[in-house]
Amino acid sequence: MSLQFADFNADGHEDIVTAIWEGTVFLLPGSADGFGQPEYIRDAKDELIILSRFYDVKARAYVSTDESKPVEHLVSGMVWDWDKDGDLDLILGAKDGQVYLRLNEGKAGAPKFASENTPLLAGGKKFNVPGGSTAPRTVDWDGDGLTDLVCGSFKGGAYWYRNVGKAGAPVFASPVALVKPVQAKNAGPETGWYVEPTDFDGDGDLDLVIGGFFTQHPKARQLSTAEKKRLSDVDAELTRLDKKWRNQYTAIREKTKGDQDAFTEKYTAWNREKEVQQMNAERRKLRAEQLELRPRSKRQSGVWLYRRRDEAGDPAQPSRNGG
Amino acid sequence: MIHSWQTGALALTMCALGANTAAQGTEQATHARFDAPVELTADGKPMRGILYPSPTLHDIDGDHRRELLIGDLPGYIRVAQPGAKRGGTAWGELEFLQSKDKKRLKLNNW
Repeated sequence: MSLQFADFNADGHEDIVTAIWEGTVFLLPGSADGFGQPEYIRDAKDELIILSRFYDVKARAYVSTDESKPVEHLVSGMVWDWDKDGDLDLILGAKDGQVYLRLNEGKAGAPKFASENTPLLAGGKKFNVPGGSTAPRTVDWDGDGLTDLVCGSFKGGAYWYRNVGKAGAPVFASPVALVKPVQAKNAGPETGWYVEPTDFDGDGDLDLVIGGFFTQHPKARQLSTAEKKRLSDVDAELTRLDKKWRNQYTAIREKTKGDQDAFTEKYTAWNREKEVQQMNAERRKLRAEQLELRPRSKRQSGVWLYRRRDEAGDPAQPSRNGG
Repeated sequence: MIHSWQTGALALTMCALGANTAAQGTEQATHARFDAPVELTADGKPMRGILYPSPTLHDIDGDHRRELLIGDLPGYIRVAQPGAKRGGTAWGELEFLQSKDKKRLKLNNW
């Protein structure tokens, strides 16, 4: 959920524009007292802003709006005055790497977004962020006065799409990898890169702040003979309890096949049984002991700074929105 | 006295210099180099346990210092105040961003 601050409704207060995994775009209206609760941004026909697939919260299922179109799931949304006509247009990012435009055919503060998603091109081909797009960000990366896009990748990496068009008529070049995915252990984020290009340290050039995941590799422990025996017992008991839990869970699934509400009811009731609660408590305790004796690699989140290395005579000056 | 041809030549030279500077900027932007990544901390700790952390820096309280805001997959927004050192990687405690009616902001996600 990448956040963008912009005065979307032209009331003089900064709002938050964002999109989430549900596949829709939200506004959190700003005011002198703070931000209001999120509300959907809608198009000129009062429809939700979506691509060809979204998550229907009520149905608890993914829904395709048009089976004839490729499955493209919106996971990011931001605003930018694409055509320099004084109002904010929408830029939408799809999970698999495509980027789309919804032009605002209204005016500042009274948007009327087009109902069709117009695919953006990069290097003459449909946008395709390697490894899938977390969220594009607007920035004048090379200081030429034109707004570029910098995109993070779900599989790691930050990509720069240089604007080689002109103000009001952006054209994007093929991507340049600013930072490639990390391969080394414990050396920064590996996957799920959400990238913020910004002058972090105020030294006049653009750095990258990146949120993501890495795999934490703990050091293996040297176990005593007694600890080895205990670990073997814990493994066996945990296997037995896990199998028992799985068998009962599968039985409920089969009994309520196709009926989600019936499953939820029976599953909740089963979890309230004293015997099941005791079994789950024992499983948690054994798992903690197992991890203590045999630490395992773990996916962890974090946020990192990639500070731009000083370049002698670097003329690039940061600008959030050039043209 | 400056002749018009001299002005024209000067303009051309300035234009060429400008183009060179822009080309140099693009060249350096294309081959941007970064120091090894440094992990940011909040209240002295790395920012663990956040699903798909998405960072943004923005001054939301009007104190002319940018806060660190982090969106996540479940739909929450966390915010941390900047540390004492300008450009430093140590931030204050991460707290959930509240709405104007003092409720935790949460976007609709599952």
